[in-house]
Amino acid sequence: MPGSEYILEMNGITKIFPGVKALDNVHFNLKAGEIHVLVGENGAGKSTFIKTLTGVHQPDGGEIILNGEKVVMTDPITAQERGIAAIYQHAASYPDLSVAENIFIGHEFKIGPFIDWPKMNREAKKLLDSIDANLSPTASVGSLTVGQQQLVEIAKALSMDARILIMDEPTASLSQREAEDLYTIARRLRDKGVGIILISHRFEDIFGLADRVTVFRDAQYIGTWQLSEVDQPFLVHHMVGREITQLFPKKQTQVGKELLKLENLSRTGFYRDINMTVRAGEIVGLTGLVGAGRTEVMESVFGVTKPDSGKIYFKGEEVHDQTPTQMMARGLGMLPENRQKEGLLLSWSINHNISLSVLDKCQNGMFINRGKEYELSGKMKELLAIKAPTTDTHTGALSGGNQQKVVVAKQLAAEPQVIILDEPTKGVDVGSKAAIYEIMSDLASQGLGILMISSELPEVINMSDRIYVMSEGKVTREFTDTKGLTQDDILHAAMPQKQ
Amino acid sequence: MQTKKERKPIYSILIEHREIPLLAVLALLLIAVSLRVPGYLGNSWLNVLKNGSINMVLCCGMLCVLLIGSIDISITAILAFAGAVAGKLMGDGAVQSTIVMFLLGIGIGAVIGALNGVLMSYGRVIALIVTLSTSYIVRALIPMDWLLGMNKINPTQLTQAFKDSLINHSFLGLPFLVWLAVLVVVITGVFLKYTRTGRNLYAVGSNAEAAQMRGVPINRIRVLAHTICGATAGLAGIMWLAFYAAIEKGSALGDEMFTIAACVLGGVAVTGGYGKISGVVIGALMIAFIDHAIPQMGIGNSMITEFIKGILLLVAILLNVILQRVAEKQDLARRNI
Amino acid sequence: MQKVKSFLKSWEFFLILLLVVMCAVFKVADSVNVASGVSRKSVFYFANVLRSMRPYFLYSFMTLGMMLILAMGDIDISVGAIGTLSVVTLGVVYNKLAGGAEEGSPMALVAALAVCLLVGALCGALNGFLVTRFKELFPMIITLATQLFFRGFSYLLIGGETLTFKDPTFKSLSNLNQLLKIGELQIPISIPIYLALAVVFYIWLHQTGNGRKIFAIGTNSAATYYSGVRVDRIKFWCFVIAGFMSAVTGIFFVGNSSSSVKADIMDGYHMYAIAAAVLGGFSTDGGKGSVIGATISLVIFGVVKFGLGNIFSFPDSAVNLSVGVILILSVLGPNLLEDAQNRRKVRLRRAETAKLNAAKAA
Repeated sequence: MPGSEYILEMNGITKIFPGVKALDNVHFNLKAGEIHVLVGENGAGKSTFIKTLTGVHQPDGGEIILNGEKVVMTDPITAQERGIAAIYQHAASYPDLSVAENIFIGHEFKIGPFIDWPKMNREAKKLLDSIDANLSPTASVGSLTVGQQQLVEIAKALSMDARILIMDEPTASLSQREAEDLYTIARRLRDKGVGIILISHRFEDIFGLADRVTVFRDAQYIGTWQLSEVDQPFLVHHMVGREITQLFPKKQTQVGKELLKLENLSRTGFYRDINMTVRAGEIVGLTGLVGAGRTEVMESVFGVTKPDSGKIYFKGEEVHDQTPTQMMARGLGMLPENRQKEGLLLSWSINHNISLSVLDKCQNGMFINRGKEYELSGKMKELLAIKAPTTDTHTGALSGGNQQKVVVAKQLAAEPQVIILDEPTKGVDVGSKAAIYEIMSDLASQGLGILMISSELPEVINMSDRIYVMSEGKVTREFTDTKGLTQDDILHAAMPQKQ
Repeated sequence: MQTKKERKPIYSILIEHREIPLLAVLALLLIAVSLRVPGYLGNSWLNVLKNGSINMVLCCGMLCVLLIGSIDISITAILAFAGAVAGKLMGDGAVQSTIVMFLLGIGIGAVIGALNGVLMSYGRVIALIVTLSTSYIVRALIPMDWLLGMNKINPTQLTQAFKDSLINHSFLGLPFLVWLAVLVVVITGVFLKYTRTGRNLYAVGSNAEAAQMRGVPINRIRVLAHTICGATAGLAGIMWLAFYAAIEKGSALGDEMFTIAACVLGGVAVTGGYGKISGVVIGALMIAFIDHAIPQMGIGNSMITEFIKGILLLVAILLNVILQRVAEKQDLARRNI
Repeated sequence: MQKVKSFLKSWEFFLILLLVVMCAVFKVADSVNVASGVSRKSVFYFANVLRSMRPYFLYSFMTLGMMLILAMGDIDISVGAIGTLSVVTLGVVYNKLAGGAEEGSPMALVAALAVCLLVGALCGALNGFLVTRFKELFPMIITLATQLFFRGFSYLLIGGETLTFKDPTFKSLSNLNQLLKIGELQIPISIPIYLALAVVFYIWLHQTGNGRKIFAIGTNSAATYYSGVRVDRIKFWCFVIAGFMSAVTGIFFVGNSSSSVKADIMDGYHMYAIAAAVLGGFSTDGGKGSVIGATISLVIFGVVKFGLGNIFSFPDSAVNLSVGVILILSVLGPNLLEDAQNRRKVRLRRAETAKLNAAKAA
């Protein structure tokens, strides 16, 4: 066997956590100068796998062979010293520390026992220049955009002279253009002989970058293929373990009267002169690059923030001084982007989560009527096919897709007429995505107006009746007909205008 | 290089260097007092420094625990305990050397601090609860039969050399008491800015999860921060004993609030990750100055300093937030959206 | 069956167990004392313990307020200072209205009491306002600042002096600390008043929608806000109530402290309130705890103090020591237990996997 072909081989890796087996006898290997994509649904064990490689977790079984030599990664420092660097899903930087310090922390330049700050700043600048990142080494990382923070992470990996670079969903919160920049850098590193392990949900990443693909499912190894051997349905099939017949189950609906209307809505620094309408039975897509101000507009509509000027009409009536409480009473629901932070009380049961937004309905006078509460949540669980033993199950124990369904249930319990969905399928596995699209279609056919904020262009194009595109705080384009629309059309409108 | 020299607006400089507004307020106060009490500064600056020294030492330790996003309200209890134990040993004749007294105080404090740290990091008990409990426990130990058997250490129990050590010896016109505080400040400052371990304190406070993934031993860093805090508190206890030549069960009770206040005034973020030694020094000086200067101004009753300290802290922290909001608003407006 | 099981696992059950064990230890020690002639007669019996609970229930009202704050995941360390300021204004107002009168003036007392409660509520309102308007700051820092502010205000009003009232009207406040005689039992008046309030708080926190929302805020305030709950309004009023309860505590305090008022009368008492609430299952993380647990912890503290003081004749400070130890253990214990459970689970899984792999290999 030519063992020298791979710089890294991981065989039979097993990892056990209290209650779950996170990795069950999985394999993986990597050549120098290739990009090897690791895919799988949420909970398939990708992140745990990476953490066993970087020494954050110790595997309970299996072996890691690095450059033909069997190694034990006792801690992250060992992994770093052996040339393994990782860029994590949520940019794992220190917001209060400077760029230079973030790059060199752990292997600072020193004079005796003391840190040599001037040299660190100089070297940081050099590294940043080498990846065309025009950042000041002394700026604090907290003041940078997510994309810039990723560049700092890459500079950090470079500073350690990494031979193996792990990127854990690096593009998850990047705009299209930032992602392109990242691709370029990744390719350049590959050509220099770095082995890159890329974890991603985005098929664009996979087909744009990968040399080989490995699929994990339910903590198990499914297979490894050359990119030329696979296509999208093939990967989906192996990731989900079954065929998904119709990913976008869009129904034709009768469009009714106007429910939500925004007139010249502006908030300094976030968005300006927004005009939008949502009608009954309609799914309206709102897309654009991250940071274009989409979420900010909808937060103002829902009453989380205050617009500086402009008008909001709900069912033809002008709304003043809106708050979430008041907007929900009027019939507007909102599914926030970050469901773990803003959508759910993770330590609470499904039952309590669903009833929280409609406690008034579950009360006799001041007192909670537990019977009514269970009746309501039981109904919702059935309606949305939430997979859990009972409604007493904690939402923290659910999968991403089912968590999202609980958040939707919370909103539906309040019987809204318009519902805003902010990135409803973000971080949701392929199987649950289809289920959520189906729910959206059903709701629209029941006469609800739906406004969906999304960065995933396929879902925007296939699910929406109408599409607004935002760029730099303004609506740059409205597509009233989505038939035959291509991603390029939308991207063109979403790109900031050169000044 | 290609970075343009952009002229920064004043407010952003104020935000970046949170100690500047504080210095300005300090200067204003100084002027006000000097107008009211002519020649105040010339006569009293030494007293201000002397009175502020102990709190200054406490502040250095507090800065370390605040940086990792923790807090320690047991420092004054540790102060009293370390002072009492060392004083008792000196009274019994077990310890006669002044140097040993100081080392003893630091050691006792460090042990209690480490205990706080272990409970807080490995035991996952919230720092406020841990240190609240240890402050109960440690203070309760002081009057026990095997320790003091009474509530007070008297000047007669202490050697003359020890009582003289901080006040009656001076160097360049400053008594050793002040030099000791300066020494602690310098060591803390160098440790935090120029050593890897010091920077790890910032890293843990800024993003503990990231630090863990990067291989920073976060629990050990937490224990270390609490140990340092305890050590400074123990040192402060010996300073207290030498300065006042007495210590009792209730010494410095509740004063930890002023230590925290000095740090907050100095711009330390209680969320962890941000804080500079320079700010803390100014904050501590400010508290010391108010304590000393206001009674001299002869306004209101004797306890008006308490009122002014309260108002000042409230105004200072609110002002900081308002300033930050203004800066954010301006930044937003410049985005041209 | 399910209910019994979950009760047996609950924190309240553990507290009851702790209380029972402590009582048993004290009872045995007491009997030993009597048998060996150290003490003449038994002191640890129900009526006697109950009678001597009085000083320990003084801060119980403050604990009720603190519970609300902790349930929301905040903390209020200014409650002691609020109590002090309320009492100081009580003294100052009464002094102004009825200062000279030999007999005192009931009207003046009523007015002063009303002002006292109002001041407590207003101080709480200031806290609530600052906490909801300056979300960038931790409640701990805000209340640290307001604590110094309220404290300073008390000093501003009366300086380092002590206001003492000798007239019978004012002295009637000490009736609040009298013992209520029911048959053989002598019950401190504060206990029935506390229990009545505790029942109200229990129903509010654990049975009404509003109480559910308070716990929701403590669990995840952003998600609660997105669920259409008026987070700021609830927070504000909880702080107001906490301030009000501090003023109530303050009134009991004046009666206790021989009708005199000083500007440091309740310094540091917030710590007792926090300790009782935390032992009762509340946490600064928010979202958990129960009124029953907090009530049992108050009793536990009372029994510990009584037992250590009167049976083991420990000095007062030993009592504080035990409070500290109990407090740490009450949080540390469950954490360690959880760690041990997790380790056991992993071990079991590991053995299982090893067996499976061995079977596969064979």
